[in-house]
Amino acid sequence: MGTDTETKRKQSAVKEKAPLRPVESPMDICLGCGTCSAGCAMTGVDGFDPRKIVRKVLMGRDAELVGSKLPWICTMCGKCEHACPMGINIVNMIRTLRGMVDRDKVPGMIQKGVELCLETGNNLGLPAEDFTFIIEDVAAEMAEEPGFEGFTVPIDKKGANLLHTLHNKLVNTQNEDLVHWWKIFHMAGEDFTIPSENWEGVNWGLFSGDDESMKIVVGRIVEHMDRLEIKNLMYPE
Amino acid sequence: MTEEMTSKADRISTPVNIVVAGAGITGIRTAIDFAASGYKVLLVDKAMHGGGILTRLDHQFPNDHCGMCRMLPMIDRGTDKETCLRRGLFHENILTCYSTEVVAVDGKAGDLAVNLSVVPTGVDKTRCSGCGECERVCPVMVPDHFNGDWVNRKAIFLPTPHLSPDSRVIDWQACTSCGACVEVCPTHAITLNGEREQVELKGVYAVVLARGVNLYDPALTDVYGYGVLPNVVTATDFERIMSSSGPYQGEMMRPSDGKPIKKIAWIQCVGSRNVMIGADFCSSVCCMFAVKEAILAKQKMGKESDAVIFYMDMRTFGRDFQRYKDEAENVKGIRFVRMRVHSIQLHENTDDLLISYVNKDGEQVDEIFDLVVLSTGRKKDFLTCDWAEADGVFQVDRLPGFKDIADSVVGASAISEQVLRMIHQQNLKPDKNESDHSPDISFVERRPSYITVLCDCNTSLSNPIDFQKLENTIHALSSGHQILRVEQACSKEGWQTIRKAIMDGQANRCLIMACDAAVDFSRKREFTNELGFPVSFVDLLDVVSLVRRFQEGEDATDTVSKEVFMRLNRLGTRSYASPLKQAQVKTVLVIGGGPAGLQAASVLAAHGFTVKLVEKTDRLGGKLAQIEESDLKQHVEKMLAGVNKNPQIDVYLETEVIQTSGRPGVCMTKLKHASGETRIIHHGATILATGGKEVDTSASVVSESHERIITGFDMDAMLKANDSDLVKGPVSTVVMIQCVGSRQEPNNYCSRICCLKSLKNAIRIKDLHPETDIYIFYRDIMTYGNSEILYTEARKKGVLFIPFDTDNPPRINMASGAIIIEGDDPFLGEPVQIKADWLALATGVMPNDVSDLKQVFSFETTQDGFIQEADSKWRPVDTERVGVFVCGLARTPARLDEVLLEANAAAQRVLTLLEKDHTSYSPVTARVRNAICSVCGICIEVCPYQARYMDEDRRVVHVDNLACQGCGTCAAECPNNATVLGEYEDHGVMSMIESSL
Amino acid sequence: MEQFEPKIIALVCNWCTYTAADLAGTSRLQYPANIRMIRMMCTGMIDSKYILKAFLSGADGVFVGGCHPGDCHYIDGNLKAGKRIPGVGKILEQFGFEPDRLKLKWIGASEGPEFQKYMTEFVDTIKTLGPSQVRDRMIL
Repeated sequence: MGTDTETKRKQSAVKEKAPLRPVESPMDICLGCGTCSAGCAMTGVDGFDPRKIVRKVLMGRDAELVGSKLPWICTMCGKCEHACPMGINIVNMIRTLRGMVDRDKVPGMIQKGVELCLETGNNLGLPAEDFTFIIEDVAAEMAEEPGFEGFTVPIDKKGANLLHTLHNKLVNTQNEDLVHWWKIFHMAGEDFTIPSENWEGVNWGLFSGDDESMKIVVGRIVEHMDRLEIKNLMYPE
Repeated sequence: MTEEMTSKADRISTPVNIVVAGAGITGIRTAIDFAASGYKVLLVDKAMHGGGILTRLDHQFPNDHCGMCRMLPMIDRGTDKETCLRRGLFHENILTCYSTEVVAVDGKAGDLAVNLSVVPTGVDKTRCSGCGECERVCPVMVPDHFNGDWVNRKAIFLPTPHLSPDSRVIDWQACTSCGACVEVCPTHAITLNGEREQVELKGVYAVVLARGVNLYDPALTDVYGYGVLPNVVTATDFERIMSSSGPYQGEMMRPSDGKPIKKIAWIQCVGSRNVMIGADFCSSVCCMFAVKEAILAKQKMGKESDAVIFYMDMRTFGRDFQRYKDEAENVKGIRFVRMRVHSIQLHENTDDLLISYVNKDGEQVDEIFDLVVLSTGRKKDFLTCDWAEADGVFQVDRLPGFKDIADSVVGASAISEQVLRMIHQQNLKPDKNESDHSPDISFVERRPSYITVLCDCNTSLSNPIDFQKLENTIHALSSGHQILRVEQACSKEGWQTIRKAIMDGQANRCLIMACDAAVDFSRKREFTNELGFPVSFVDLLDVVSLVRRFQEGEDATDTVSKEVFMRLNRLGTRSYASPLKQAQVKTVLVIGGGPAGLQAASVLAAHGFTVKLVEKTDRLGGKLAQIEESDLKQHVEKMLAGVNKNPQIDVYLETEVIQTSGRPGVCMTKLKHASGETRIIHHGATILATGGKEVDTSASVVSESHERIITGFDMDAMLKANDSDLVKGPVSTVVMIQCVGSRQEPNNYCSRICCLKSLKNAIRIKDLHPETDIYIFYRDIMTYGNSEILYTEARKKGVLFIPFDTDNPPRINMASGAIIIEGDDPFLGEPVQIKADWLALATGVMPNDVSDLKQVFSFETTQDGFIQEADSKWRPVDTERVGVFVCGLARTPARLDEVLLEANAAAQRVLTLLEKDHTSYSPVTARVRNAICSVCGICIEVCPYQARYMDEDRRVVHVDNLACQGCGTCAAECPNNATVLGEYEDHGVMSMIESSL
Repeated sequence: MEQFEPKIIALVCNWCTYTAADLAGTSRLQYPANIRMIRMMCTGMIDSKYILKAFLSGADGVFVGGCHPGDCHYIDGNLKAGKRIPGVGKILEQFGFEPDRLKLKWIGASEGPEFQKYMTEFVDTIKTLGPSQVRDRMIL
């Protein structure tokens, strides 16, 4: 551990960058009351403790936090923030810390997914023809069910009422969930469409603290809306 | 208008000098202050009862006792009904009116028009016998906010348990006007009309606004589950659970299933210290009341029980509070866990509650509780009142706050003084001249001749009484005994009949057998004031209460006869002695020329008193130089200048008090100047304002001095000096350590000003040098009340706070020549090492030495040398000795604004004592039959008021009748029966005993 | 045989105990009629001879009720009673009175239920002890 407290306290970048919630409380206002830690489901797991993290930020120990596992243990559920009497943006703090980590140190599949999404328009790196094939295949199967005869999925339909984005698992391991959506749309008479490219609804830049990539992915969907002249967006993720 | 309203409006409109809006403890205190000086007071409250929050609590911190009745007047005791204040406030100059609001105040101070909005209670108090039939038949059940929302009550109900007389009232919002109660009421006391009436008063001198506090509703904080989860209650709910007069008669059982409570958690700071809900304040009293509740609960729960308090800071800022808390923790086994709890959950499928928290080792633990108590503080918004700023309105508090009893009582008397000052300046006298209530001597000294009034109202009695048999018993007692039967003594006609019979007849002893409501306090006053009966020559037998303890239908005649017999006997033994009047000396001796003494002197001079201001040192001002707040400093400086010029104030510098004698109102004191010259002054009262000083306890934490290790006081001075190194900078790191030499034996009290001082210093440094790192090591940050914002501001500016316990304080390491502070950061669970440029030690204050003065005045001091008040809650500026008062640092550590209020309150107490030209004392005081006194002195020792003294030269024991409160202990202890208590002489009591058997 | 109905004197203090007694009344907590309540300002004023007088006048039991220590209106009158009353008890014992015939209890202003309990219990105790021997042996 060992902390270099003989020298001055470092200024924390996290403190400056982490955006504020409606009750604007700078992190310094932390009372150390422990409300967050008491309610956090992850307190004690591998040394995780939201109060400790806030404290370290206030002491300017960004580097230590960024280099640890701690920012990734948080589930970002927000239970801490909900009860924090000082209104500290704990979730935003965690996310900002994540954003400060070198991209190649981002754990698990998250960064890979982000890169794939930027490159290919979806987290799986699924090519466009494969995507279309899967969609049409599942739609055809659904059309065999009574009451849904003749069902097709409109793709890239200009002027539709609703643009629907998809979680990548829907075209990977959980095709059946596609059917739930479509049945509802069909019975409701909804004029929906899905894009053939950049259809990814899960924006992993949220989890990796990567605002830039988030912007790009969201930007693509906005671009669909403009191009296809669709007014309404359903973005379930 | 209903009969109730007519009588209410009539009563209210009798000349009212001062209206007090708010009948909590503060309002009651001011009302008594005014009434004691002879002014007519109308005391109103929006609620259906008086007493405020305190009616729900049986005992208060920091001594777990009640003592509310000690607020009652100590002199002129005959003017009020000497009874437990929870039953009601009865004073001949105070009219109480509940369900009443002041809606407008117009005019100028001294001559106001006050508009009141009065809601009828629906029940005529003068008729209600408290039989309770109405309650029984009422079909409506609503939550009982008094006892806790999970308990129900009827729409017609008794607002507080002790209320006397116990008339019911109607909650109009719940009432469905079904009329069942009207039908069943035996005295036709109910009228179902809840329409507000307006009453306008003219010629009112002043209005006092004693708003008090509304408690935060914890249902607004979802995480605690109040109102959703079972067994989550507020602190005031819990007081009701503990109270024998509460919903469970004092059994510790929990609301959901009646299971015995064995494990309780208190959660502090509910609704306070929460920036998210806009509550950036502390509610001041919750820490202490939680400790009290835990102590009382643990006592009741017995062994195998657990009381846990979850807190952030334990605000034990009052003088006796720290020891109280330490005893709770170390002796009584209360657990204190420093952690604010996230939320309360239900434990599995039970009604038990689960709380998770992080322990000292950083592990998350779960604990299960039977009951969770939410220590709710005050609502953030002040109760609105659009006439609050009108001319002639005196607000006890201009800012919202939740004060404890002592601070409330001080604040109340301080306002009373201000009001009276305005009244005196305008030359407004009390409305009624101090009339001589002495009855005609021939009337009193005649042989006892009785009249017994028997109210025929059998309908409200649950048990029949054979009136003929009763009359026979009475006639057997004495011939010529007049008996009057009336129907409904409570009604106007009934009362007139009684009055006429007495005025026409020869009786000089009167026994009235009726219900409590029929002869209420004001009617009893009529006997004294208009019919010339001494108070002790009239007795009321509340026969309804008497028979209530029988089984339904059982014949009560014998018991009632016996009781009547006993009462009549007692009346016959009463004698009467005219109260002697005593002329008062309108001079006050103030000892101590610091801010407290200056304030008291200035205020008293403004009321027309002569003041003798005695100061030990060679200058006035005390700790003036150290005052930070510029407006307060200016105020004290102005006062100082004023005092020197005021012809009514004689200043004696370099002078001490060496001897005193006399009695309240007439004292003689000897002063001695440093030159040796003595002089004698005559005065009527004394105020001790001997003050205190800072105490440098640095040696308890540092072994050698260093020019940059200073006290908080020093740092404050340095920051004011523009050329100091600290101001010029640069400053890299500043460390402060709180509670140095305070809050642990031997100085185990909080000095109350050090946290504020450190925070202000820290903020100042940050403003001068934003890049400076500041660390404050603390035990509990005592920013109570609205000063919490300073703590928040300090944190916002980047000051880092590190808590420590007494068993692991930060250590100062100067081995290397630098100042290194070593400690532990409990949040991180890591050691901390800080090199500081400057180290400020927050040392506290102590009282000045009063051991010489103690010999002269025989007051008590606490183990820390503070002057002991008569009662730290209910009589905070009185000493045990009537006529000797205390204020300021001499009594307790306090902030300057608090000290100045105390000085005003002490001045008010002097006013009450000395304002009248003469004062008389109650007949219920002790006297000595010197012929049989053996001068043993036992009576002097046992008197709790130091009201007896020995004339050494003549070897005679005297009683100071003004100070004597009539407890009778001296009479009981006297081995020769030389001392007797007026109205309770042996023959009277013995006769009562004999006649009752 | 006629049931023995004890005659009991209760000397109660004006402040807490009397309030509790009233509270018991308003709360309809019934207690036996055998109790004759005599209100004193404070238990501290109860002279030892009042108790002796009570017994000599034929009381079968004497109950003294005062405020809890610390709650006394007159600061510590009850504490003095707390020392004095047991002393009287010892004297009574020497004259052959059963010590249980004299009882001292602290009763707070809210303690209506406790008041009822103590009264009822005391009457039962005295009933068990039987009539005071004073009635047989002394000519009153």
